[in-house]
This record gives sequence, structure tokens and C-alpha cells, in this order.
Amino acid sequence: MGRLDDRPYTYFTTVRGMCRTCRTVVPARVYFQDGKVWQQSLCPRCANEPALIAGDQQWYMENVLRQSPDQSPLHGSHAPKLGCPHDCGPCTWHASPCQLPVFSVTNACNLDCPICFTYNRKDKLYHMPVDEMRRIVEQVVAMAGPIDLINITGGEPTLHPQIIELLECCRRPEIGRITMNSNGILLAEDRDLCERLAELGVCVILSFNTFDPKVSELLHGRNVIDAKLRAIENLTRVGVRMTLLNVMVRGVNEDAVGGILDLMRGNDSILSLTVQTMTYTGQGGGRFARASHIPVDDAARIVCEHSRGQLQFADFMPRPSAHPLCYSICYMLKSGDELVPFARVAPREKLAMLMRNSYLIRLEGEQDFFRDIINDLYAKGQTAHLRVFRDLIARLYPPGKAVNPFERQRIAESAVRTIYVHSHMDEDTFDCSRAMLCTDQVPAAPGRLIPACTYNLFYRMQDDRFYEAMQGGSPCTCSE
Amino acid sequence: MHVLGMTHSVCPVCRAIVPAKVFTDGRDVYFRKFCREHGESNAFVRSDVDEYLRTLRCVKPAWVPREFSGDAHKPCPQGCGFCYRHEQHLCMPIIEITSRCDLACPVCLVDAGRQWNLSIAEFDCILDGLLRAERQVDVLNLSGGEPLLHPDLLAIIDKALARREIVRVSISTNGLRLLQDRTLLRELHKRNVCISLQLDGFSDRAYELLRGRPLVREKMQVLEILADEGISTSLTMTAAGGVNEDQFPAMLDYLFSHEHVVSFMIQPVAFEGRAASLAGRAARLSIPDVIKALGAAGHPAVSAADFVALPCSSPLCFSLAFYLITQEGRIVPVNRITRAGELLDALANRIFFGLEPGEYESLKRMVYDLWSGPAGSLPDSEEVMQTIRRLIKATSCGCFDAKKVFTEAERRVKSIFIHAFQDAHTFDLARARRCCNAYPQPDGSLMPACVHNVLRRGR
Repeated sequence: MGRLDDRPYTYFTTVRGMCRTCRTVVPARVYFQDGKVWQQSLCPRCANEPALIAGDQQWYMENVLRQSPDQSPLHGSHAPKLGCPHDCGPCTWHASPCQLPVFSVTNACNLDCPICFTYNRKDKLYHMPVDEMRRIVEQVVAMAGPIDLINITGGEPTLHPQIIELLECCRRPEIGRITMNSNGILLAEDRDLCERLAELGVCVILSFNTFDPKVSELLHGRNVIDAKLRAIENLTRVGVRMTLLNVMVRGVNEDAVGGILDLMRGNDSILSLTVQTMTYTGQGGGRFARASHIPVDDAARIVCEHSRGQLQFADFMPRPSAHPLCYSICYMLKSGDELVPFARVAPREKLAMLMRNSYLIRLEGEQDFFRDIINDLYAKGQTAHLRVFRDLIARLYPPGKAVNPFERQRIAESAVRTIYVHSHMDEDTFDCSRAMLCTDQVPAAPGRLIPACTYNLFYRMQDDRFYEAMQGGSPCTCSE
Repeated sequence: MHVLGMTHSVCPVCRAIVPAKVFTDGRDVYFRKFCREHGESNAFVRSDVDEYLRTLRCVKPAWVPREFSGDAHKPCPQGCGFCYRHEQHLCMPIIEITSRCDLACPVCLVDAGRQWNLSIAEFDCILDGLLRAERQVDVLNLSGGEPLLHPDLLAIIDKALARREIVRVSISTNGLRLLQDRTLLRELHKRNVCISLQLDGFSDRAYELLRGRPLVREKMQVLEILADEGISTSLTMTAAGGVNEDQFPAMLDYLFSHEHVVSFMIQPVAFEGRAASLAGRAARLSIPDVIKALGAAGHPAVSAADFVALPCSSPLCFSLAFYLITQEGRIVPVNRITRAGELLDALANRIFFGLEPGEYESLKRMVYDLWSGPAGSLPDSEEVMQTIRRLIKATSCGCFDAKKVFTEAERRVKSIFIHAFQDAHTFDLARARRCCNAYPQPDGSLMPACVHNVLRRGR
């Protein structure tokens, strides 16, 4: 008689996850324990470890139990044939449009980072032909329409012998900002290349993870700190805008983000910081010593902790068009050396409206947004920021003068700094609910735009440019 | 349109487990499913998307069965039997003891084929399996077919009651058999059996559609003899949109005007088994629809605010309201005299509270609440408190006895349950994995009710 034992956790729901070992799609339990949120795949064949997906149960419930705009069927989508996530590219179920096309132009790399979360075969060099690049850009524009951003990645894109021609293909009126990932090794040496990037208006997304040589070796295989600092110097000198990309690994480099924020504060060419939480997948990450995942909300908290008291968790907001476990963003107004988070001077609903369809705040027809902020600051007597906002609005919306959207974007970015916190999914955290809302999409084949994480987990390994089929076949099993 | 997420459902044609996109038109909640064989299909799941999102917040830790069974090496839910992946213990076991029935209801979940009676030996095996998993069974429900037609019914009940872990037996019946056999009812009463009477209202139109023939006259007679006998009775109503929602006021009246009627269970029709053919003639009701209709039924004691989702099952499966009946006969919704959280804590992982010595702490906290909480301002708080005090005194003097508690408490606390069974349209693996309502099988497995009805029955 008597009662049964309590479970140590509280069940919340079941999502469509995947098995780390056999890579099939399986149900995954989502549960609460010690105020945190965990996900564990329930594969009938293989054991799977639980992974942390949110650091705070209350935050999770408030944000995940919401309605997300469903923009399906997207332009160019096809009917499902196999069932989510095996129809990607997009199928008629996909709910969010492509807002950031991202693709590899080479599999070559001059580093072999133990944290690399993607696959790039080393035995067979691939550089994307310029014709192919032209076709892909055409495809992206045809499928996604005018877009604010395009992202070129690799491997290491600067190793592509025709990288400048490739980037030139992206210079079109339909594309706002060309961004290119780089580890900075070549940019530290090749000032000429930096100048060419400046001429093309390319924004460099420079990976920057640590100021500690030992940690650099652990993450990148060797000490690359000086090279990265030199790359920043070279790019700054010629006026190339930058985003610093910080992969945050539990127990390894959480403390680096304070110094990286300082870099951004002190350098007008650095427009944003992207914190990507470590994903234990791909050629490096899949074998990297596993620690607990850093979920998106915890990553934002870690940024705040190291912000020298300037930021607080409430300054971050999920992206309205993505899943709240994938992205959290803090927009700030740069006011002298100080960064003023928009969330403190503007209502969150209004901010969400501005963030709705892009990674960049859209300012078209948003004079009222700034007027409201100014009125509010005035009413509260916060005169310090008042002048900065007034000055900005005068430049953004000059009376009697037309400003086109891209120009306005550039004016805004001189005054706005952004922190993006982005959690990719790996085998432990994969969830179709998240994939269905993904706005980062890979033009992996003609007519297809594949959500980035399903691409990394299910599709890239079918692509022999990046993955050498192992003995015994591909690890991607596209059946259940 | 807006999306709420993605889950696993079943294909309405072949019953394969398939992905389901959960979406809303801004008002209600739907699934869009995709089956490799049978393509896409849409299903209405639940009305009121805001209520849906609010309800999903109701969670609490589950209990662990003493032993797991089933086959965890099969994909969920094929290996059912409460394997280690299952998220709850079995609170409400239902044992089907016969397939024989004296009605052929179009609304029946069971698409009766072969005629069989469970043997006493098989019944014993089922109990063994059940009690390997559970320490205490508050209510063991016997069902069918029509369980009163089982030739060894009383022997089966005695077998169950011989197990000290089983507190109470209830029988789900259409009641017709009782009209022919008054001794049977007396024998059941002697064994403190609770009669769960199928009662779809007091309108022959509803019976004709749901049960295949007019039954009001017979049901009235059954109610009369149950009242004469004073046996604990629960009213179980299959509710169908456009068919018998208009019967809620009469059902509530009956519940609150008869002391022996302890609860009212509403089961919105699931279009499963034979009932699948009712689609088109009866509209789907979801829990929020039923709560709204009950609130609007005009009963002075009942409002929509009395209901809470039951967090020990999936909160989408059950909603319930408790009503305290004071010494003076006043009806007070328990949700109004205590904080909702307290009520749900008191429920632990069972739908009946007060059956554990420890749970008296919860009742005592409720008394404290009456002094200090929102109920302190109620005009009848003094009266309510007297009732709770007497209840605690009556049930806690001497040594603790769950059976005694049950009998004392059920006359002072009436309940309304809404239980939404799933069918092939609404099936959601996220709910089924948390099911606490199962059919224990002779092989020792415990089959979650909706998994059994949707994926196993007749297949």
C-alpha cells in the first residue's frame, strides 16, 4: 500500500527529435528538472543522453507556448513526400520564409577546429565555380525575393581562388548586405584582399572565441588569437564592417564574451556580436569532449554576466519569426561609449514588430517608433539618450529628402549595435518544431532552400562535395 | 494562420504514426498530418487556442510504477504496456470483462466481434500484472461490453476486493440488467460498488442517435432503483455536439439533487470504433466547449471558472471541478475556496483526493486558506469550514482507512469530470505518453486507453 515514488522530473511534452546513434527521427521527451528544461530522444534501439534546451523553465513556457506566424505555403515550396524533416527545401509545411540564405562556397580550410560543427571533406577539394554561384544567387532571389542579408561560408571562403568574383555575383539590388564568414587567418596577412572586400561592401563575420592561447588551441587546434586581432586591424583600417562570431562552449570560454563585447564597444567597424552556442555535431563537434549544452537563454544570461553591468536578461528578445529556442536578440543604441538596449526605451511588442521579418531592424515608415521613444525619454527626464535618438531620427528621416531603404539601413547601423544569440541544433536537441520555423536556409540544390540545421544534420552528408560516404554507407538515414 | 509546434499523430486511414503540424486559425487548434501512403489530412483538435496554450502550462511530476512492462525496443507506442518511456503510473484501470452487450450503440468505442467472457483466472492474471506496477488502486473499473451480463460478475468483484490494495470497484453499465435483477443491485451495494451509469440525458432523440433506440423510460426506472438502494452512483454522459448538450442543465440538477450521485463524468464523443460512423451526424466537442456549455447551463452553483485541467494526466485529456456540499446543503466549488494550485497538489497523482494519510495536510491547508485566503471573504466561509472540519474528524479518527475515507468524503464532495478520449483524428503521442487511464491485459501489460482504442482495437 501507500504511494509510488515521485519521478525526479516533470514531463512537459513530446517532440520529433532524432537519435544521435542511428540518426533516425524518434520521439523526444521534453521535461523540467531543477527549474531547467531538458530534451531526451527516445530511440527504441539506442540510448540517448538528455540535453539542456533552456536554462529557465518559466522563460521556456512563456516563450514556447505562443503562436508563431505561419507563412506557408512559401513561394517555390513542394508538397511533402516523406514527412518532416525529410522533405526540406521548403515543403508546404515550412512556416517561415528564408531571411538568411547561407551556403558553403568551398570545403577548403586552413584550420581544423575541434569545434567545427559541419562536414568538409579534405580528400577532394571543392571550390564553387562562378557559374554555379551565379545560378545560386539567381535561385535565392527568385525564391526568397528581396533580402536584407546573404551569407557565404565554407570551409574558409577566403581560400576560394575566385572569392571576389563570387562575392560580386551577390551585388544586386535585391540583396541588402553581403556577409562572409572567415576565421581571419588569411585576412591577417592579405591587406589587398581586405581592400577588395571593402570595395565590395562585404561584411565579414569573423570568428572570435577567446583571448587565452590555451583555449585557442583547444577550440581551433592552434593559437590563432594574434592572427584574429591582426585581421580586425586590417579590416578596420579599410573600413570593412564586421560581426564577431563567438562560439560559446560550456566550461571552456564563457568568460571571453566580456572582452569581445569590449572589442565591439571600442571599434566602430564592429556592428554586431553573434554568440553561437556549441553544438556537438559535425566533423569536430561530434567528437568534442561533451559538456552540458548552453541553451539560448543561458547564453544570453552569460553575455549579461560579462557585460560589466551594462546588460540584463530582459534586454534580449526572441526573434518573432524564428523559434524562441533558436534566437535571442538584443538591439542597442550606441551613445558615445555606452550601449543603450532598445528594450529599455521601447515597448517589447513594438520591437517585436520591427524585428518581424529580418535580422536587421526594419526602419521603413517607422518614424513614429522613434518619436514615441523620444517622447518617452523626455517624459522620464532621461535627457542623456535624448540627443542621440533625435540626431538619429534627423538622419534617418531627413525632412523633404528621399532616403532609400538600404541607405537608411546603413545610417541606422552606424548608431545601432546588435547581439545575436543563436543556438543551432545538434542530434540531441533537434526538434521539428524548431526546424519548421527556421529562417536560415541553404540553397543546396536547384529549387531548394533547406533549413540550416536540418541541412547540417540530414542533408549535408548526402552531398559528396562535403562528405565522403563512409564504409557502410552514409550516416544519414532518411527514413523512420 | 499560426503554428504552435509539431507532434506525432496517426494517419486516419492506416493508423501509422505520422508527423502532425499543430496550427491555429486564431480561434481553434488543428493538426495537419502527413502519411507517406495516404498523404495530407487536417483534423480539428480543440477549440480556443488561448485556452489550449494556458492549459499546457499545467504540469506536475508524475509517479513511477513499481515495475515497467511492455517492450521498449519497439517504436512508441507499439510496445505499450507502460514501458520505461511512459510518463505516468496507472491511476484509473479499466478491465473489460465481457464483450456481450444488451445494446448495440452506434456510439460504442468497441466494435464488438466475437462474444467472450473474461475467465476468473484471466481476471486474476490481470490483477497480478496491475499490482506489480501499482501499490494501491483507488478505483478499479469493470467495463465491457455490458459487465452486468458476465455470469460470474460477483465472483470477479470478490476477487478484486480480496486484494487489499484495491480500495473500490466501479462498474460501467447501461443499467438495463438492473431492472430485471434487483438482488444483483443489492449484492453490488453490499460490496460498496460504485455504479457508473451510462446516462446521455433525458431526451429520446439523443438516445436514438447515440444508443440506437429510445431509452429514457428505462433510464428513469434505473435511476429510481439506484436512488431507492442509495448506492453510490456516477453519471457518465457521452456528449455530442448538436445532439445532447441541451441536457447539461438536467444532468447537473440530477447530480446536485441526489445525495447518492457522487459524480458526473462527461465524455465528448470520440469518433472511434463504431462511433466513427457518427461523423456528420454529431459534432465534435472539445473540453473548452463542454466547460463553456456547463457554465452556461444555468445551474446556480456551477460556473466555467470552477474547472481546472488535471495535470497528472496530460492536461489536455481531463478537466474537473469539485464541489463541497455543506451540512446545510449548500454547494461550494472547491476551486473557489482554495487556490487552484492547492487543489491540484491535493490531487497528487490521483483524481480522488484524501486517500493517503499525508494528503490530510492538503486538506488542513485548505482549512487554513479559509481563514486567510480569498475564501475568507465568502459569506458562507464559516459553514464551509465546519463541513471540512467534520470531514477531517470523521475520516481521521482512529487509524487511517482509505475505504472509510472514500465513503465519507464522496458524499460531501461531488465532482464533475470531463474526459476527452482521443480518436484517429485527434490522437497526439505527447498526450498518450502521459496516459493514466489504461486497460490492463491478461499478459500483464497496461494498455493506455487511447492507444488501445485507436491502434489496437479490432486490428
